[in-house]
Amino acid sequence: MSVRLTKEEEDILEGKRGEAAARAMEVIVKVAESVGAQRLVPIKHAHISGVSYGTIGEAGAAFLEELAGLGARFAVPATVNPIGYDPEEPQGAGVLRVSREFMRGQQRILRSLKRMGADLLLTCTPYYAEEFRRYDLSVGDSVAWGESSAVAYANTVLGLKTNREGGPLALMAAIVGRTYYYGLHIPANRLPRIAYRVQEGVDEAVLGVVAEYLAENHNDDKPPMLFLPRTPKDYEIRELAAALGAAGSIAMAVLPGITPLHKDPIPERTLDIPAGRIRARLRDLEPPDKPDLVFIGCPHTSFHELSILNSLLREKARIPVIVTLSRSVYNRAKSLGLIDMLEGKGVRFLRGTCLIVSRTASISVATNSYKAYFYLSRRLPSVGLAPLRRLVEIAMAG
Amino acid sequence: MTSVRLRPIVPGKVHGRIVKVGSLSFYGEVDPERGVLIGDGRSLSGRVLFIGRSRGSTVGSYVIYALRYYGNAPAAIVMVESEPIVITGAILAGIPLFEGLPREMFSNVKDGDCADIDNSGVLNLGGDC
Repeated sequence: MSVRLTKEEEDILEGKRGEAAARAMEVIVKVAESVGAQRLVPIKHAHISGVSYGTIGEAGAAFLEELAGLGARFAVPATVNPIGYDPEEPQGAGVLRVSREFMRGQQRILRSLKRMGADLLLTCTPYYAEEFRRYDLSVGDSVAWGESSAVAYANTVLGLKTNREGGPLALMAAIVGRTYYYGLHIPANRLPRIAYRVQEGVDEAVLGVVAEYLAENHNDDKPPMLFLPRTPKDYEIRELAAALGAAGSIAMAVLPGITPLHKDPIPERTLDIPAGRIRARLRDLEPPDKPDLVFIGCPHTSFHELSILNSLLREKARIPVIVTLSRSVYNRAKSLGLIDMLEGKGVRFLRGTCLIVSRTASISVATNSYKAYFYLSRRLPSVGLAPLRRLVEIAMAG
Repeated sequence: MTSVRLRPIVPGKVHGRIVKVGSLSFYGEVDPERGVLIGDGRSLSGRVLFIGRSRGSTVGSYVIYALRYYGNAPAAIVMVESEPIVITGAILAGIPLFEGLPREMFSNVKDGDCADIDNSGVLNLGGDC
């Protein structure tokens, strides 16, 4: 049950790098002990979730201030998730409810993160940001990411190794530059034993419901492998990853031809996902014909998805379309004229935030994100799920 | 009385009524300021929270920490199988956490039953609260 620590790790635990690092190391070692990890593993990057005042509130703001005040500093590059409003336009698009108190709380959180050395990318898809390249991450690197959607994307698409770290654990890992060697950091644990065949035509809404099915039915601790009738587009995989993290705790899927693995996966059995069940669930989740708004970009959208949206949206939207994205992707799309084209068709943009981690009025929403459906349907009167193509029809019909 | 030995992750001696939840995402399904489950309003404060399966957002650790911050911490969390998000939250909040509850026992336990856990992790059900 004991965790073998290197001399350096013991020194950190004993406080030779200050009280904050010692506390961070203590938490990581305790988690390591409780999951049965035998050692720690160095990480090259951390991504920290739980940074919106809307999600962590007063308790979280106080926690981060205390840590920064104790002298906590990040030992590896660390990026952070979206916050509770668009910092460049706090009352942006008129859908977010941002009080003064909320902004003050959010500012305290950002100041503490900055003091610890965070790169404030404010996005749940750091891998789409231009700045991400400078971390020089490659297939097989261990990282510590919070944000369940990014975790599943990192493992499934990028070949980065990470478990689903709790928001504060990713923070502690960034402080000591290590996490516990366990789960998906171990190559053998990344090989699937059970494969699932999906016969339906796929789109991101179908994949969201497939993820929900897997969350309920995949009881193996190795990742599920998915055989799909066609190679999914990047934003469809992103939605699959996000849904896996929201509906359950699956941190990786294996997609043939996409997921980098150290050796070829040979699943022991292949099961069919019942097509009737997926269709019935999609019917349950169908959005109303006239929602108050159409929401795209959970997790934060890519340049590629924006250009698909632009080509689908042939006329001006009659229902407001809100797209959330990182400042980095926004700036790139802006410089290439894509933002102006979409704004001309009635699309509004929110940077560095999203509807899940902020506060909104009580509205009905249609989205192509199962994750957004999962969280928003708990507090809004009506939330429906449909693929991008259908959302655009809804928006244009008005 | 039914009895079983659990694995203590954050040890502690616990006595209290059970709140049973089949699957739980702390973020989105728990209100830490009021200390209740958002779905049905059941209070978690001072209760022994039995969880069949945990899921959902990695912000969950902060929600567990916030339950303590607002004075609404459960007396303990008991799980069939724990996971790092809950473990981190429980360590930071100092909430006793146990895993290894047999699944059939979880199925049979009723909301409001009394749970007693000693320092070594032995859980007794069916006593008085």
